[in-house]
Amino acid sequence: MLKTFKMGGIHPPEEKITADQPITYGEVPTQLLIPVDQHIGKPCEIIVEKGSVVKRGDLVAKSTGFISSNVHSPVDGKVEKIVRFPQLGGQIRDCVLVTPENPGVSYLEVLKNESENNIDIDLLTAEDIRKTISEAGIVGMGGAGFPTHVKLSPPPDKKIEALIINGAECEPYITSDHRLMLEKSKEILKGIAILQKLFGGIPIYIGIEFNKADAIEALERECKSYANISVVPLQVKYPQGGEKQLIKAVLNREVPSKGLPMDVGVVVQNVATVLAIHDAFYHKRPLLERVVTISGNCVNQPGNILLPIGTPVSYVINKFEIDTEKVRVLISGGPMMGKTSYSFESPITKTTSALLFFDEARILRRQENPCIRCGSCIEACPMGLAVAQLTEMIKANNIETSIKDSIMDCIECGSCSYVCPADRRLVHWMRFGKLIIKREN
Amino acid sequence: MIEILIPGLILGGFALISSTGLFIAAKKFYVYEDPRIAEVTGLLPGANCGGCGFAGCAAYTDYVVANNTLNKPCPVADDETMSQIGALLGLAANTAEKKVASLMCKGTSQNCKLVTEYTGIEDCWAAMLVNDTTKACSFSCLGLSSCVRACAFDAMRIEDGIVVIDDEKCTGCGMCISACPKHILHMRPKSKVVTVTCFNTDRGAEARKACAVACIGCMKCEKVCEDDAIHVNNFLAKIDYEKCTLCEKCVEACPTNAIEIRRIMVDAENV
Repeated sequence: MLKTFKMGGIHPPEEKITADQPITYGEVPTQLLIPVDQHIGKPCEIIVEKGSVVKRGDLVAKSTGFISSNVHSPVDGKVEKIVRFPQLGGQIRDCVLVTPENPGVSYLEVLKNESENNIDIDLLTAEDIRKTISEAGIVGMGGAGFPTHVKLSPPPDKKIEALIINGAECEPYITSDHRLMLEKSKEILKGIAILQKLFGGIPIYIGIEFNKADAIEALERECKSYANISVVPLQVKYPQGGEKQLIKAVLNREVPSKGLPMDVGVVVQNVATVLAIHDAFYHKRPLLERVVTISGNCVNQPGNILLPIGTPVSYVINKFEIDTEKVRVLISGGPMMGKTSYSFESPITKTTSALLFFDEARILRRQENPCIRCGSCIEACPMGLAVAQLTEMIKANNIETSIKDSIMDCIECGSCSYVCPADRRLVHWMRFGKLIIKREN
Repeated sequence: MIEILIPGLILGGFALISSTGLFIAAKKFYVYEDPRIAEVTGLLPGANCGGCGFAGCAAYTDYVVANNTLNKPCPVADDETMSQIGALLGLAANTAEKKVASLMCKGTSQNCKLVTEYTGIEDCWAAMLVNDTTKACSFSCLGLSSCVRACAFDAMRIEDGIVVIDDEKCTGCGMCISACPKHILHMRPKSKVVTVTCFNTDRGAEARKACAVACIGCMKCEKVCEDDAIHVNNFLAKIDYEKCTLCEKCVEACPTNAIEIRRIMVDAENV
């Protein structure tokens, strides 16, 4: 019996149509819009100005605090201007517009020109590791964008006993992590070894859903040459990739309400993040690019592509020959938790795991109907919340009771909205409620 | 006869004991309250809106009577009420001009096109969770009624995608200002009817592309103003109401109609 989390969860159609498409490499786009606010925490401070010349890997915006992250330029080029521009998440933020020196050059060539350093992991100190990760601007690449060096610096009273590498990739359509685990398994294991060194040889579990059997096999093969690293195959269930759900599934530990994984002695890192850590040490390269799944029913030949951070969506549209007339929805991330965007010029960020293009046929326009008290949302909620009641509390502005009933524990996975037979905007109400509570405090 | 007398005596006895107890308690635990507090409370409109900055009318009255000051006038009460309160407390009423809320946007469906289709919760804050804007201009009014719900005086309504404010009903309590996630509502003196109806700080060309009536920062209003009352900063004109004399020259000069004179709205029912 494969492991999984106990409470709630749903089974949306998997739609992993790009699972057997190898990662491709595009060209350097003609223009890059590098957003300076790609993480959770304090926004960065832009350190370039109009006309500045930047090299690949140069700092563009500097972190302004502990919970903040550096942003670098992925190309050699010139800063044209600094503009406010809608992001893929819908927010309007400052971006640095960079014109590359070498547009049209294959990105694979750019990568090949970089040397690979051999480093001795045993010589690294914990301080070195945290400093390198922090300077490389690495953030959680699963979607939330929480700065990785913060996650790797638990307070001294919290003892970390295990590290979980998140390869669950439970969202429909997305296959970027799946391809990385297949094609870069050696590099991922090297990255994991660095983290193991940081925490002093603790056991490491790589949680992968069973629909990626080839990735499980590939990583298991690599694991043999390392001590204390094992692959944990998991049942296919959404939202298994949620931090708290993954810890429950792999270690059967429950993160307390309002708590963090480190309260139960666990740190969770995404596989793409681990690969970025590998690159930061072995290639001395900050986080400059990421693999993005391009899919959806408007894409004739869906695939996985490595794109530099800041590539506008319009580049993808040209490259994959997508008919923009047909596209009605553009989602960055998965269809469950992803965000919609209205601009085809928005840039991809460190957290864009997929770009999904859907046409009219995939849009459901239904009225919000009255709750029929079926309890489906409560059954589906992986955090065990009484969603129907909580949304009514928010509607009635009953904030104290909703806090008492743990609305702040909602992980916004959207399972409740997915199962609701009355098409109620449950997750939207939950997010709205959390926003009101944050606003009042 | 006795059957009636006994209960009567029992009840009468109880009444006597209780009233004596109440009388003693009233004397023993008597707290002096300034009689003016009750009188001022009676005079106030009693909207409990919090526009004065206090928790409600009771807290406001306590402050006014305890400090014997009218430096913070009730925003809802009219001048007559305030002077009555002033007379009661022996103070000169502060007759500062009434302020009303004013929207710095004219992004109606005609002027500023929708770029997204929002079908979620009818609330501006909830819409901002999905996208910072639903219209071409990222500064524009979303028209999803957050301020309308915050208004306790029925002075606001949504018309053609933006909020419309009834100056007569608006009491200037300011609750709508904190309810707006776009920060495009501001207070202006009621008589100063000339307003800049734009909040877009983008460059002129970009602003104009997004909205037909955007302020493009052309400085024509600044040049034509004889009272030094209008200034363009960050491609956006702003009126200094202390200096404005309502000459309306800027309204004529504005090439995009981003400065308008607000005529007092009259409800169709009351005509």
